[in-house]
Amino acid sequence: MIWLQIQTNQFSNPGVSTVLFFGTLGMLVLAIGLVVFIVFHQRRVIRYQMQLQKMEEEQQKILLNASIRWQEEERQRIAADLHDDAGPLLATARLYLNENLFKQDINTQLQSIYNAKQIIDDTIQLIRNISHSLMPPTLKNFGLESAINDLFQKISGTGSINASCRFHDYRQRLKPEQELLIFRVVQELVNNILKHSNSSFIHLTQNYNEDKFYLRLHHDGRGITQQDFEKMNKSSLGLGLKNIQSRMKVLHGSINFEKDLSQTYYKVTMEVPFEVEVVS
Amino acid sequence: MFLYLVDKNSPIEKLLINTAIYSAFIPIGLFFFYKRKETGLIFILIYLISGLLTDLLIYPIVRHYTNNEFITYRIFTLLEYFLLSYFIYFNLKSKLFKRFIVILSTLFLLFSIFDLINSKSRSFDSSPTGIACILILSYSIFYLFEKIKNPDSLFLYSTSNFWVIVAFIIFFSGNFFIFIFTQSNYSDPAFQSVFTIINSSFNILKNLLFSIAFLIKPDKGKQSIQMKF
Repeated sequence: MIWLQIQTNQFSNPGVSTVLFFGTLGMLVLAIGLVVFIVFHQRRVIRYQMQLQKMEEEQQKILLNASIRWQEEERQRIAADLHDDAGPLLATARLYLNENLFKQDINTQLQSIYNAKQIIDDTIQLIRNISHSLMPPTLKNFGLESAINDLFQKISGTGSINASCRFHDYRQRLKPEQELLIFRVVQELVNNILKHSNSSFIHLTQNYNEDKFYLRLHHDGRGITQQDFEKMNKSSLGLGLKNIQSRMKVLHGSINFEKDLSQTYYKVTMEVPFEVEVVS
Repeated sequence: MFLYLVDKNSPIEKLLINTAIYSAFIPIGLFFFYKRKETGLIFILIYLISGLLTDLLIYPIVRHYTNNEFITYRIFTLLEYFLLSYFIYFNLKSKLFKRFIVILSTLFLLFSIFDLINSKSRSFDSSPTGIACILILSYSIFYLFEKIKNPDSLFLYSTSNFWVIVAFIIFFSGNFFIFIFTQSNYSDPAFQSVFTIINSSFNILKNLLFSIAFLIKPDKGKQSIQMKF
Protein backbone atom coordinates (compact mmCIF):
# COMPACT_ATOMS: atom_id res chain seq x y z
CA MET A 1 0.00 0.00 0.00
CA ILE A 2 2.87 2.32 0.80
CA TRP A 3 4.31 1.89 -2.66
CA LEU A 4 0.99 2.34 -4.37
CA GLN A 5 0.83 5.68 -2.66
CA ILE A 6 4.25 6.64 -4.01
CA GLN A 7 3.26 5.84 -7.58
CA THR A 8 -0.10 7.56 -7.55
CA ASN A 9 1.08 10.70 -5.78
CA GLN A 10 2.81 13.22 -8.02
CA PHE A 11 6.13 14.19 -6.48
CA SER A 12 7.45 17.63 -7.35
CA ASN A 13 10.77 15.88 -8.10
CA PRO A 14 9.85 12.66 -10.00
CA GLY A 15 13.28 11.00 -9.51
CA VAL A 16 12.76 10.98 -5.75
CA SER A 17 10.00 8.36 -5.82
CA THR A 18 12.21 5.80 -7.64
CA VAL A 19 15.19 6.38 -5.35
CA LEU A 20 12.93 6.26 -2.32
CA PHE A 21 11.27 3.03 -3.45
CA PHE A 22 14.41 1.12 -4.36
CA GLY A 23 16.50 2.70 -1.61
CA THR A 24 14.12 1.86 1.21
CA LEU A 25 13.39 -1.57 -0.19
CA GLY A 26 17.11 -2.29 -0.65
CA MET A 27 18.00 -1.12 2.84
CA LEU A 28 15.20 -3.17 4.33
CA VAL A 29 16.21 -6.31 2.43
CA LEU A 30 19.82 -5.81 3.51
CA ALA A 31 18.82 -5.27 7.13
CA ILE A 32 16.56 -8.32 7.28
CA GLY A 33 19.17 -10.36 5.40
CA LEU A 34 21.80 -9.35 7.94
CA VAL A 35 19.62 -10.31 10.90
CA VAL A 36 18.69 -13.65 9.30
CA PHE A 37 22.35 -14.33 8.51
CA ILE A 38 23.36 -13.58 12.11
CA VAL A 39 20.67 -15.87 13.51
CA PHE A 40 21.55 -18.74 11.15
CA HIS A 41 25.26 -18.28 11.70
CA GLN A 42 24.77 -18.44 15.44
CA ARG A 43 22.69 -21.60 15.09
CA ARG A 44 25.50 -23.15 13.07
CA VAL A 45 28.04 -22.15 15.73
CA ILE A 46 25.83 -23.67 18.43
CA ARG A 47 25.48 -26.90 16.43
CA TYR A 48 29.25 -27.02 16.00
CA GLN A 49 29.76 -26.38 19.72
CA MET A 50 27.35 -29.17 20.61
CA GLN A 51 29.09 -31.57 18.25
CA LEU A 52 32.42 -30.65 19.80
CA GLN A 53 31.01 -31.16 23.28
CA LYS A 54 29.56 -34.54 22.27
CA MET A 55 32.87 -35.64 20.82
CA GLU A 56 34.65 -34.57 23.98
CA GLU A 57 32.15 -36.47 26.11
CA GLU A 58 32.68 -39.58 23.98
CA GLN A 59 36.44 -39.21 24.32
CA GLN A 60 36.05 -38.87 28.09
CA LYS A 61 33.92 -41.99 28.10
CA ILE A 62 36.55 -43.95 26.17
CA LEU A 63 39.26 -42.75 28.57
CA LEU A 64 37.16 -43.63 31.59
CA ASN A 65 36.46 -47.11 30.19
CA ALA A 66 40.17 -47.56 29.50
CA SER A 67 41.02 -46.47 33.00
CA ILE A 68 38.49 -48.93 34.50
CA ARG A 69 39.74 -51.73 32.26
CA TRP A 70 43.34 -50.96 33.22
CA GLN A 71 42.43 -51.03 36.92
CA GLU A 72 40.67 -54.38 36.46
CA GLU A 73 43.63 -55.82 34.58
CA GLU A 74 46.00 -54.60 37.29
CA ARG A 75 43.80 -56.19 39.96
CA GLN A 76 43.66 -59.44 37.99
CA ARG A 77 47.44 -59.40 37.63
CA ILE A 78 47.93 -58.87 41.39
CA ALA A 79 45.32 -61.53 42.15
CA ALA A 80 47.06 -63.95 39.75
CA ASP A 81 50.49 -63.20 41.30
CA LEU A 82 49.13 -63.79 44.80
CA HIS A 83 47.10 -66.85 43.83
CA ASP A 84 49.60 -68.55 41.53
CA ASP A 85 52.87 -67.64 43.24
CA ALA A 86 52.36 -66.63 46.86
CA GLY A 87 49.55 -69.15 47.45
CA PRO A 88 51.46 -72.32 46.42
CA LEU A 89 54.61 -71.10 48.17
CA LEU A 90 52.80 -70.61 51.46
CA ALA A 91 50.96 -73.92 51.02
CA THR A 92 54.31 -75.68 50.53
CA ALA A 93 55.72 -73.98 53.62
CA ARG A 94 52.66 -75.16 55.55
CA LEU A 95 53.32 -78.75 54.38
CA TYR A 96 56.85 -78.59 55.79
CA LEU A 97 55.49 -77.31 59.07
CA ASN A 98 52.68 -79.85 59.51
CA GLU A 99 51.65 -81.55 62.78
CA ASN A 100 53.74 -84.69 62.01
CA LEU A 101 56.93 -82.66 62.18
CA PHE A 102 57.41 -83.26 65.92
CA LYS A 103 57.27 -87.06 65.36
CA GLN A 104 60.29 -86.93 63.08
CA ASP A 105 63.95 -87.00 64.00
CA ILE A 106 65.77 -83.75 64.76
CA ASN A 107 67.71 -83.60 61.46
CA THR A 108 64.54 -83.97 59.38
CA GLN A 109 62.85 -81.38 61.60
CA LEU A 110 65.72 -78.91 61.07
CA GLN A 111 65.71 -79.57 57.31
CA SER A 112 61.96 -79.00 57.14
CA ILE A 113 62.23 -75.75 59.14
CA TYR A 114 65.08 -74.62 56.89
CA ASN A 115 63.06 -75.38 53.73
CA ALA A 116 60.00 -73.59 55.13
CA LYS A 117 62.16 -70.57 55.99
CA GLN A 118 63.52 -70.51 52.43
CA ILE A 119 60.02 -70.63 51.00
CA ILE A 120 58.82 -67.88 53.36
CA ASP A 121 61.82 -65.72 52.27
CA ASP A 122 60.86 -66.30 48.63
CA THR A 123 57.29 -65.33 49.44
CA ILE A 124 58.47 -62.15 51.16
CA GLN A 125 60.53 -61.31 48.08
CA LEU A 126 57.56 -62.02 45.82
CA ILE A 127 55.27 -59.76 47.87
CA ARG A 128 57.95 -57.05 47.86
CA ASN A 129 58.12 -57.29 44.07
CA ILE A 130 54.35 -56.94 43.80
CA SER A 131 54.47 -53.97 46.17
CA HIS A 132 57.31 -52.36 44.19
CA SER A 133 55.43 -52.76 40.95
CA LEU A 134 52.53 -50.87 42.54
CA MET A 135 54.68 -48.08 43.97
CA PRO A 136 58.42 -48.06 43.23
CA PRO A 137 60.27 -47.25 46.49
CA THR A 138 62.99 -45.35 44.59
CA LEU A 139 60.38 -42.97 43.25
CA LYS A 140 58.90 -42.41 46.67
CA ASN A 141 62.20 -41.93 48.45
CA PHE A 142 64.52 -40.39 45.86
CA GLY A 143 62.30 -38.90 43.21
CA LEU A 144 61.58 -39.17 39.52
CA GLU A 145 65.17 -38.83 38.32
CA SER A 146 66.39 -41.76 40.41
CA ALA A 147 63.34 -43.89 39.59
CA ILE A 148 63.75 -43.39 35.84
CA ASN A 149 67.53 -43.97 36.11
CA ASP A 150 66.81 -47.16 38.00
CA LEU A 151 64.28 -48.29 35.41
CA PHE A 152 66.65 -47.59 32.51
CA GLN A 153 69.55 -49.35 34.26
CA LYS A 154 67.40 -52.43 34.75
CA ILE A 155 66.41 -52.38 31.06
CA SER A 156 70.01 -51.88 29.97
CA GLY A 157 71.04 -54.66 32.33
CA THR A 158 69.06 -57.20 30.34
CA GLY A 159 71.46 -56.60 27.42
CA SER A 160 68.69 -56.65 24.82
CA ILE A 161 68.52 -52.89 24.36
CA ASN A 162 70.66 -49.88 25.15
CA ALA A 163 68.67 -47.60 27.48
CA SER A 164 70.04 -44.31 28.76
CA CYS A 165 68.62 -41.18 30.35
CA ARG A 166 69.87 -37.71 31.18
CA PHE A 167 68.20 -35.14 33.43
CA HIS A 168 69.54 -31.69 32.56
CA ASP A 169 67.86 -29.67 35.28
CA TYR A 170 65.88 -31.33 38.03
CA ARG A 171 67.02 -29.47 41.14
CA GLN A 172 63.46 -28.83 42.22
CA ARG A 173 61.27 -31.89 42.46
CA LEU A 174 57.75 -31.98 41.08
CA LYS A 175 54.83 -32.82 43.36
CA PRO A 176 54.87 -36.55 44.32
CA GLU A 177 51.57 -37.23 42.57
CA GLN A 178 52.91 -35.57 39.40
CA GLU A 179 56.11 -37.61 39.61
CA LEU A 180 54.13 -40.84 39.94
CA LEU A 181 51.93 -40.01 36.95
CA ILE A 182 54.94 -39.06 34.80
CA PHE A 183 56.77 -42.21 35.87
CA ARG A 184 53.76 -44.33 34.88
CA VAL A 185 53.61 -42.64 31.49
CA VAL A 186 57.35 -43.25 30.96
CA GLN A 187 56.91 -46.89 32.06
CA GLU A 188 54.07 -47.34 29.59
CA LEU A 189 56.02 -45.70 26.76
CA VAL A 190 59.12 -47.75 27.46
CA ASN A 191 57.02 -50.88 27.71
CA ASN A 192 55.47 -50.13 24.31
CA ILE A 193 58.89 -49.47 22.78
CA LEU A 194 60.21 -52.77 24.16
CA LYS A 195 57.16 -54.70 22.99
CA HIS A 196 56.49 -53.21 19.56
CA SER A 197 59.32 -51.07 18.23
CA ASN A 198 62.20 -53.52 17.83
CA SER A 199 64.59 -50.63 18.42
CA SER A 200 68.24 -50.85 19.41
CA PHE A 201 68.25 -47.96 21.86
CA ILE A 202 66.02 -45.73 23.98
CA HIS A 203 67.26 -42.38 25.15
CA LEU A 204 65.41 -40.09 27.54
CA THR A 205 66.22 -36.43 28.17
CA GLN A 206 64.69 -34.02 30.65
CA ASN A 207 64.63 -30.26 30.70
CA TYR A 208 62.49 -27.40 31.88
CA ASN A 209 61.71 -24.01 30.50
CA GLU A 210 59.36 -21.24 31.63
CA ASP A 211 57.42 -23.23 34.23
CA LYS A 212 57.14 -26.23 31.93
CA PHE A 213 58.70 -29.60 32.56
CA TYR A 214 59.79 -31.50 29.43
CA LEU A 215 60.66 -35.15 28.89
CA ARG A 216 61.66 -36.52 25.52
CA LEU A 217 62.11 -40.15 24.53
CA HIS A 218 64.02 -41.14 21.39
CA HIS A 219 64.21 -44.57 19.84
CA ASP A 220 65.21 -45.96 16.45
CA GLY A 221 62.56 -48.63 16.03
CA ARG A 222 59.01 -48.66 14.70
CA GLY A 223 57.00 -45.90 16.27
CA ILE A 224 53.80 -43.95 16.00
CA THR A 225 52.99 -40.37 15.05
CA GLN A 226 50.51 -38.00 16.68
CA GLN A 227 47.93 -38.92 14.04
CA ASP A 228 48.24 -42.63 14.90
CA PHE A 229 48.05 -41.80 18.60
CA GLU A 230 44.84 -39.81 18.20
CA LYS A 231 43.36 -42.47 15.93
CA MET A 232 44.12 -45.24 18.43
CA ASN A 233 42.76 -43.13 21.27
CA LYS A 234 39.40 -42.95 19.54
CA SER A 235 39.28 -46.68 18.77
CA SER A 236 38.74 -49.51 21.22
CA LEU A 237 42.39 -50.57 20.75
CA GLY A 238 45.43 -49.25 22.60
CA LEU A 239 44.53 -49.45 26.29
CA GLY A 240 48.02 -48.30 27.30
CA LEU A 241 47.85 -45.24 25.06
CA LYS A 242 44.48 -44.29 26.52
CA ASN A 243 45.99 -44.51 29.98
CA ILE A 244 48.78 -42.21 28.84
CA GLN A 245 46.20 -39.79 27.53
CA SER A 246 44.12 -39.82 30.72
CA ARG A 247 47.24 -39.36 32.87
CA MET A 248 48.35 -36.42 30.73
CA LYS A 249 44.91 -34.93 31.20
CA VAL A 250 45.24 -35.23 34.98
CA LEU A 251 48.65 -33.57 34.70
CA HIS A 252 47.18 -30.77 32.52
CA GLY A 253 50.04 -31.55 30.16
CA SER A 254 50.42 -32.60 26.56
CA ILE A 255 52.15 -35.39 24.71
CA ASN A 256 53.36 -35.37 21.15
CA PHE A 257 54.43 -38.33 19.06
CA GLU A 258 56.49 -37.53 15.98
CA LYS A 259 59.09 -38.82 13.58
CA ASP A 260 62.43 -37.04 13.65
CA LEU A 261 63.24 -34.72 10.74
CA SER A 262 66.00 -37.11 9.72
CA GLN A 263 63.28 -39.83 9.46
CA THR A 264 65.54 -42.13 11.47
CA TYR A 265 64.14 -41.77 14.94
CA TYR A 266 60.79 -41.55 16.59
CA LYS A 267 60.41 -39.15 19.46
CA VAL A 268 57.81 -38.64 22.14
CA THR A 269 57.71 -35.30 23.94
CA MET A 270 55.84 -34.70 27.16
CA GLU A 271 55.12 -31.19 28.40
CA VAL A 272 53.84 -30.74 31.93
CA PRO A 273 53.22 -27.50 33.87
CA PHE A 274 55.81 -27.27 36.64
CA GLU A 275 54.29 -27.58 40.12
CA VAL A 276 56.98 -27.62 42.75
CA GLU A 277 56.62 -29.81 45.81
CA VAL A 278 55.94 -27.70 48.90
CA VAL A 279 58.16 -28.83 51.76
CA SER A 280 56.38 -28.26 55.07
CA MET B 1 9.70 11.53 15.27
CA PHE B 2 6.86 12.50 13.01
CA LEU B 3 6.17 15.33 10.71
CA TYR B 4 3.08 16.49 12.47
CA LEU B 5 0.71 16.61 9.56
CA VAL B 6 -2.39 15.01 10.97
CA ASP B 7 -4.57 17.88 9.86
CA LYS B 8 -3.49 17.51 6.24
CA ASN B 9 -3.53 13.71 6.09
CA SER B 10 -6.18 11.25 4.94
CA PRO B 11 -8.04 9.20 7.61
CA ILE B 12 -5.87 6.12 7.03
CA GLU B 13 -2.73 8.20 7.46
CA LYS B 14 -4.12 9.78 10.61
CA LEU B 15 -4.83 6.32 11.94
CA LEU B 16 -1.27 5.23 11.13
CA ILE B 17 0.25 8.27 12.82
CA ASN B 18 -1.84 7.81 15.94
CA THR B 19 -1.12 4.07 16.05
CA ALA B 20 2.60 4.81 15.70
CA ILE B 21 2.53 7.38 18.50
CA TYR B 22 0.38 5.41 20.93
CA SER B 23 2.03 2.05 20.19
CA ALA B 24 4.95 3.35 22.27
CA PHE B 25 2.77 2.73 25.32
CA ILE B 26 3.01 -1.05 24.73
CA PRO B 27 6.78 -1.37 25.38
CA ILE B 28 6.59 1.27 28.16
CA GLY B 29 3.80 -0.68 29.84
CA LEU B 30 5.64 -3.98 29.45
CA PHE B 31 8.80 -2.46 30.90
CA PHE B 32 6.99 -1.51 34.10
CA PHE B 33 4.81 -4.64 34.16
CA TYR B 34 7.85 -6.96 34.05
CA LYS B 35 9.83 -4.63 36.35
CA ARG B 36 12.86 -4.54 34.07
CA LYS B 37 15.89 -3.11 35.82
CA GLU B 38 18.65 -3.63 33.26
CA THR B 39 20.60 -0.41 32.79
CA GLY B 40 20.71 -0.80 29.00
CA LEU B 41 16.94 -1.14 28.71
CA ILE B 42 16.39 1.95 30.87
CA PHE B 43 17.94 3.99 28.02
CA ILE B 44 15.39 2.51 25.64
CA LEU B 45 12.63 3.43 28.08
CA ILE B 46 13.93 7.01 28.28
CA TYR B 47 14.06 7.07 24.47
CA LEU B 48 10.46 5.87 24.19
CA ILE B 49 9.17 8.32 26.81
CA SER B 50 11.07 11.25 25.27
CA GLY B 51 9.71 10.32 21.80
CA LEU B 52 6.20 10.16 23.20
CA LEU B 53 6.54 13.50 25.01
CA THR B 54 7.98 15.14 21.90
CA ASP B 55 5.19 13.87 19.68
CA LEU B 56 2.33 14.58 22.08
CA LEU B 57 3.50 17.70 23.92
CA ILE B 58 6.69 19.47 22.97
CA TYR B 59 6.32 19.47 19.18
CA PRO B 60 2.69 20.74 19.12
CA ILE B 61 3.49 23.43 21.72
CA VAL B 62 6.62 24.63 19.91
CA ARG B 63 4.81 24.59 16.57
CA HIS B 64 1.84 26.48 17.98
CA TYR B 65 3.73 29.23 19.76
CA THR B 66 6.98 29.71 17.85
CA ASN B 67 6.60 28.09 14.46
CA ASN B 68 10.25 27.02 14.85
CA GLU B 69 9.63 23.28 14.98
CA PHE B 70 12.91 22.58 13.18
CA ILE B 71 14.71 23.04 16.52
CA THR B 72 12.63 20.18 17.98
CA TYR B 73 13.80 17.87 15.17
CA ARG B 74 17.42 18.71 15.84
CA ILE B 75 17.18 18.28 19.62
CA PHE B 76 15.30 15.00 19.22
CA THR B 77 17.86 13.71 16.67
CA LEU B 78 20.67 14.39 19.15
CA LEU B 79 18.74 12.88 22.06
CA GLU B 80 17.81 9.81 20.01
CA TYR B 81 21.36 9.34 18.75
CA PHE B 82 22.99 9.65 22.17
CA LEU B 83 20.48 7.42 23.97
CA LEU B 84 20.66 4.66 21.38
CA SER B 85 24.41 4.83 20.91
CA TYR B 86 24.87 4.77 24.69
CA PHE B 87 22.70 1.64 24.82
CA ILE B 88 25.04 -0.04 22.32
CA TYR B 89 28.14 1.42 24.01
CA PHE B 90 26.93 0.03 27.34
CA ASN B 91 26.41 -3.46 25.90
CA LEU B 92 29.64 -3.69 23.89
CA LYS B 93 32.67 -5.43 25.36
CA SER B 94 35.36 -4.46 22.87
CA LYS B 95 37.27 -1.42 24.07
CA LEU B 96 38.22 -0.61 20.49
CA PHE B 97 34.59 -0.43 19.39
CA LYS B 98 33.75 1.67 22.45
CA ARG B 99 36.54 4.09 21.60
CA PHE B 100 35.19 4.28 18.03
CA ILE B 101 31.74 5.16 19.36
CA VAL B 102 33.13 7.92 21.58
CA ILE B 103 35.15 9.44 18.71
CA LEU B 104 32.32 9.21 16.18
CA SER B 105 29.80 10.60 18.67
CA THR B 106 32.03 13.61 19.34
CA LEU B 107 32.37 14.21 15.60
CA PHE B 108 28.63 13.80 15.18
CA LEU B 109 27.91 16.33 17.92
CA LEU B 110 30.31 18.83 16.31
CA PHE B 111 28.73 18.26 12.92
CA SER B 112 25.20 18.74 14.33
CA ILE B 113 26.20 22.06 15.91
CA PHE B 114 27.92 23.11 12.68
CA ASP B 115 24.82 22.15 10.66
CA LEU B 116 22.53 24.04 13.04
CA ILE B 117 24.59 27.21 12.70
CA ASN B 118 25.17 27.00 8.96
CA SER B 119 21.99 25.44 7.63
CA LYS B 120 19.75 27.92 5.85
CA SER B 121 16.88 25.46 5.76
CA ARG B 122 14.32 25.89 8.53
CA SER B 123 12.92 22.40 8.14
CA PHE B 124 13.80 18.80 8.88
CA ASP B 125 17.52 18.12 9.69
CA SER B 126 18.16 15.53 7.00
CA SER B 127 21.97 15.59 7.20
CA PRO B 128 22.36 14.98 10.96
CA THR B 129 19.50 12.44 10.92
CA GLY B 130 21.01 10.61 7.94
CA ILE B 131 24.40 10.48 9.64
CA ALA B 132 22.78 9.37 12.91
CA CYS B 133 21.06 6.56 10.95
CA ILE B 134 24.34 5.37 9.42
CA LEU B 135 26.15 5.55 12.76
CA ILE B 136 23.46 3.66 14.71
CA LEU B 137 23.32 1.04 11.94
CA SER B 138 27.11 0.68 12.06
CA TYR B 139 27.14 0.34 15.85
CA SER B 140 24.36 -2.26 15.64
CA ILE B 141 26.41 -4.25 13.14
CA PHE B 142 29.45 -3.90 15.47
CA TYR B 143 27.31 -5.25 18.29
CA LEU B 144 26.06 -8.25 16.28
CA PHE B 145 29.57 -8.93 14.99
CA GLU B 146 30.85 -8.99 18.56
CA LYS B 147 28.05 -11.30 19.64
CA ILE B 148 28.67 -13.86 16.90
CA LYS B 149 32.38 -13.73 17.62
CA ASN B 150 32.08 -14.12 21.39
CA PRO B 151 28.62 -15.46 22.19
CA ASP B 152 27.71 -15.31 25.87
CA SER B 153 24.24 -16.71 25.39
CA LEU B 154 23.24 -20.04 23.87
CA PHE B 155 20.63 -18.39 21.64
CA LEU B 156 21.28 -14.84 20.56
CA TYR B 157 17.58 -14.24 19.91
CA SER B 158 16.68 -15.19 23.47
CA THR B 159 18.16 -11.94 24.76
CA SER B 160 16.40 -8.57 25.03
CA ASN B 161 19.37 -6.72 23.57
CA PHE B 162 19.17 -8.68 20.32
CA TRP B 163 15.57 -7.55 19.70
CA VAL B 164 16.43 -3.97 20.58
CA ILE B 165 19.26 -4.08 18.04
CA VAL B 166 16.95 -5.67 15.42
CA ALA B 167 14.50 -2.80 16.06
CA PHE B 168 17.31 -0.25 15.49
CA ILE B 169 18.44 -1.96 12.29
CA ILE B 170 14.98 -2.27 10.78
CA PHE B 171 13.83 1.20 11.85
CA PHE B 172 16.90 3.08 10.69
CA SER B 173 17.44 1.14 7.46
CA GLY B 174 13.75 1.54 6.55
CA ASN B 175 13.73 5.26 7.31
CA PHE B 176 17.17 6.14 5.99
CA PHE B 177 16.18 7.27 2.50
CA ILE B 178 13.02 9.01 3.64
CA PHE B 179 15.02 10.99 6.21
CA ILE B 180 17.59 11.95 3.57
CA PHE B 181 14.94 13.32 1.21
CA THR B 182 12.77 15.08 3.79
CA GLN B 183 14.67 18.38 3.94
CA SER B 184 14.44 18.98 0.18
CA ASN B 185 10.83 17.78 -0.12
CA TYR B 186 9.51 19.12 3.16
CA SER B 187 6.65 21.10 1.66
CA ASP B 188 5.71 18.56 -1.04
CA PRO B 189 2.29 17.12 -0.02
CA ALA B 190 2.89 13.87 -1.93
CA PHE B 191 6.17 13.37 -0.11
CA GLN B 192 4.58 14.22 3.24
CA SER B 193 2.02 11.51 2.66
CA VAL B 194 4.68 8.90 1.82
CA PHE B 195 6.77 10.05 4.76
CA THR B 196 3.81 9.57 7.09
CA ILE B 197 3.12 6.07 5.86
CA ILE B 198 6.73 4.82 5.84
CA ASN B 199 7.79 6.49 9.06
CA SER B 200 4.65 5.46 10.94
CA SER B 201 4.88 1.84 9.74
CA PHE B 202 8.49 1.50 10.86
CA ASN B 203 7.71 3.22 14.16
CA ILE B 204 4.97 0.69 14.86
CA LEU B 205 7.35 -2.14 13.94
CA LYS B 206 10.07 -0.67 16.16
CA ASN B 207 7.70 -0.41 19.13
CA LEU B 208 6.58 -4.01 18.61
CA LEU B 209 10.20 -5.19 18.52
CA PHE B 210 10.92 -3.21 21.72
CA SER B 211 7.89 -4.91 23.26
CA ILE B 212 9.36 -8.33 22.38
CA ALA B 213 12.64 -7.20 23.96
CA PHE B 214 10.88 -6.22 27.18
CA LEU B 215 8.90 -9.47 27.20
CA ILE B 216 12.03 -11.63 27.23
CA LYS B 217 13.09 -12.45 30.73
CA PRO B 218 16.75 -11.74 31.59
CA ASP B 219 19.12 -14.67 31.11
CA LYS B 220 20.44 -15.70 34.51
CA GLY B 221 23.33 -17.66 33.06
CA LYS B 222 21.33 -20.89 32.71
CA GLN B 223 21.96 -20.99 29.00
CA SER B 224 25.48 -19.69 28.98
CA ILE B 225 27.99 -21.59 26.92
CA GLN B 226 31.69 -21.97 27.22
CA MET B 227 33.66 -21.80 24.04
CA LYS B 228 36.05 -24.72 23.81
CA PHE B 229 38.53 -24.15 21.07
